[in-house]
Amino acid sequence: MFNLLTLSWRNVWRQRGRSLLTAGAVGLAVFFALVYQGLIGAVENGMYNTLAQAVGHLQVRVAGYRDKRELRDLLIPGAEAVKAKLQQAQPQAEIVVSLEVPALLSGESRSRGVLLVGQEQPPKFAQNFRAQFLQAGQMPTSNTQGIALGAALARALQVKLGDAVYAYAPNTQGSGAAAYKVVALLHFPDPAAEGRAAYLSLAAAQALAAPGGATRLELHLPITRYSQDSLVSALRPALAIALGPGLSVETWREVNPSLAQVLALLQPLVLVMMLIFFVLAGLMVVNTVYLGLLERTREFGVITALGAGPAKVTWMVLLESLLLCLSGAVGGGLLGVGLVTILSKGFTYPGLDKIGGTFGIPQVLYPSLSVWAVLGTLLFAVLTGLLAAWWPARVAAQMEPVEAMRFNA
Amino acid sequence: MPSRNLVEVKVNAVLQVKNLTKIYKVDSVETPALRGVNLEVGQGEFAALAGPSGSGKTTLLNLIGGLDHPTSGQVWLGQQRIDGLSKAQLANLRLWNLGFVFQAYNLIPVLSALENAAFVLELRGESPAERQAKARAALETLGMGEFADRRPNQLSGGQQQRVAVARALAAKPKIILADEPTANLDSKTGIALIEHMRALNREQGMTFLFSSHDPRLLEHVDRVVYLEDGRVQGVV
Amino acid sequence: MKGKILLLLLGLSLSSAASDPQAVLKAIVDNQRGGGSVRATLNLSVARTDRQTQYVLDIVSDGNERALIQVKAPPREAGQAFLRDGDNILIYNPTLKRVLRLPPSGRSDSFLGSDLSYSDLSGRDLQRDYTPKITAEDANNLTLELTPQPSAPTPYGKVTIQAKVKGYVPLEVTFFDQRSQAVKKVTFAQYAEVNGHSFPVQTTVEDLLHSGNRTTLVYSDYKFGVSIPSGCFDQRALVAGC
Repeated sequence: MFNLLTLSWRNVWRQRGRSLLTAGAVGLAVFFALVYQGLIGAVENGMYNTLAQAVGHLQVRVAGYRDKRELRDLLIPGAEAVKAKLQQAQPQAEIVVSLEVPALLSGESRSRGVLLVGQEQPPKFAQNFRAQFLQAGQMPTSNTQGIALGAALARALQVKLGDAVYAYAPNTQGSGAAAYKVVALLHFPDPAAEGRAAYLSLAAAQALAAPGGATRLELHLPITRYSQDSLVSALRPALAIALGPGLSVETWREVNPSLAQVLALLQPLVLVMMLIFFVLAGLMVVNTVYLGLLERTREFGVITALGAGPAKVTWMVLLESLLLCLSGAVGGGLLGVGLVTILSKGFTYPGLDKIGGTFGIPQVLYPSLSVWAVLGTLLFAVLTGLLAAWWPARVAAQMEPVEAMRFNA
Repeated sequence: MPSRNLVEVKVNAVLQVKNLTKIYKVDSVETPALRGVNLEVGQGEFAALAGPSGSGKTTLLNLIGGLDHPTSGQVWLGQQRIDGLSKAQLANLRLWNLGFVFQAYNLIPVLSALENAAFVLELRGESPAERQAKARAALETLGMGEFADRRPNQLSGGQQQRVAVARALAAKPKIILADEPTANLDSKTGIALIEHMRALNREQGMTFLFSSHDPRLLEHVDRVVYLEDGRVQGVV
Repeated sequence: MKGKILLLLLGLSLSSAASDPQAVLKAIVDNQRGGGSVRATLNLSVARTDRQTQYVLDIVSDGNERALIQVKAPPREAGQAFLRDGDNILIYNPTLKRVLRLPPSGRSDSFLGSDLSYSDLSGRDLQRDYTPKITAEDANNLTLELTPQPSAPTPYGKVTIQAKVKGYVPLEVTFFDQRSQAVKKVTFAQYAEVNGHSFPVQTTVEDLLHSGNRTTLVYSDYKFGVSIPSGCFDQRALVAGC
């Protein structure tokens, strides 16, 4: 025995070709929306992790550090104690201690102004750093006078692995000048970054410019997804209070506002694209539902004459539109989820490293979809169905049965 | 505004029409279709409206069926005056009280004979089991039991019209209004249909009101109301 | 009426004397440099909100583009030396026992943590890199406005100089950034008459963006016009002195 649902379902497929085309359009919109969301999600997570790895989820510096120029004013007072306090507040977090020293770095004949970075990081981070950026040699260890240079900087200074370079950091509390051996060459996707990169062990940087000093403490939280980022902002006020005045606690967002902006733009972009997809598909649905209605004017007249009120007629039209959209959405959804599942094992395409590097997009993307993204996309399809049927449904509800039955399509 | 004082409502009448006029207005040209019609149909009657085409019989049937609004006059269905009801109220009234049989059968092509017969019951929201039982019984009554699973396009015109009658019958309305039900049928099929309806009238007491100029049909009815130029010309 | 005419005449005569802004600028810079070559001791005092550092420097300059500066005190910094020869600035560091070349991008870096940059050390950058214009002048003082030449390697958007009309004695130099905000002010005091120039013995540099940051330079034991061998401006002198 039939009901309104099966009746509508049969009516939808009376014009098989037209309905298939329309359902296909909705399906395509759902498919694109899902794949697009999967990719954007991967880019988002990739950028987020690259960024967070580079600057930490939260960064502690001296308050007002942006206006301070001299190293001595940038040093975090009692850096070791601050680090201990941070570790106590966030026991599961990893902490990277850095001392950044503006210095003149000189080879045998050439020199450049650089920001020497002395870094002490947990082994996991050091390993990631090596995997990502080390081109040749070994990263400097804390008991040697080794230095790692960006390959571009090494070229500019006309030095190679094993050569000596001389750092001059006047007006500091350390030795103020030191000679180092180039032990590693680094490659960065961003050529500008490669032109200034110079890394020492924290101990070597401290000996040069600030015994026991640090200018930056990075807090790395065990977070891997951009969607978990609200934790970071939530954590900040408490940390700021725990550390007391004189220090600033900033999120990665504030440290790197331009990339944060790019990241924040991705989601609205997805929405705009989805809107475009679904508006186009929706127009086809309007057309199909309205044509179906027009062709069956006489039938609607009969149904009305037999006692179906305006509400029931409206519901029948809506139901047809929803079934049309949902049948497309289910097909497109299965294909979309399928493709994302295949791609989720990791994929890349030529040129991604070059374009992506500047924005911190990793070279291999791992698309993924949350249940919410899938449900949200299906909701989009349902809304499309409802909106597309709105006007045809009104037309149907306002039909006069006598006139409708006289109608010949 | 219903003015009960002015009109005498007969308790045993299924249908009463008082002073009914209908004027169609097209491009400010007024064409009167009904010019003051009075009519009564009693419970269990098998009656017909007759007259040449354009005499107003279809218009009268539409007004009685709540498919159109009169220009003036009253239509009473049992104790209820229906000429002033809203669209939604009229739909509800048709659903619960009236049965329709159309000249062009007007079955729903995507539904089987059984499903078509059950259509009104589905609109009423009856349970599937109830629907199925009633629709099957109605089909059996009209001798269509073996065609229950056929779609309309697999049935002849006469069979389709019997399904249409079964659709009206299954809902057990107060009155079945049938507009030229035999006009599209050959004479043998037409007579068979008429005999089916006559049997329903006799055996189940179902009230029928036809509009027709088919003499085969008019021979079988209890009463013929002749219409001409929008007026009742005589009753036989 | 008579007074007005007199003033007008006076004004005319003065402006005719000062008609060439380039000449005025040269005269001012000559005064600031004391004219010609010099050997001197310079006390450099760098004041910050929470500390103060005193340096003693030995300076040898040919009055133009070449200068040698050696740090004598404090002991922590002693032995460092700086040589400017035109666009080249070389640094000697005793710890490294090496001469380092300062790249052009480093020329605006702070010199010994003071409010002076390496390019402030000597030379005639104001004369060479800017186009002067007299914007105000009265009976006593005049104001020069200097706009950088298109290719000049300077971070500043504008420089103004206040000087006495009489003898073009420098009083004050203000540096503006590209958005016309004053960032640095240099004031001169304690003038000494040497070789017909009014040489400011004391110079104060104030960082207008960071109040409390101030550098004071006081010259002593200055000898102008002495002949200086060109050997004082080579790398050997940078290491060993001259």
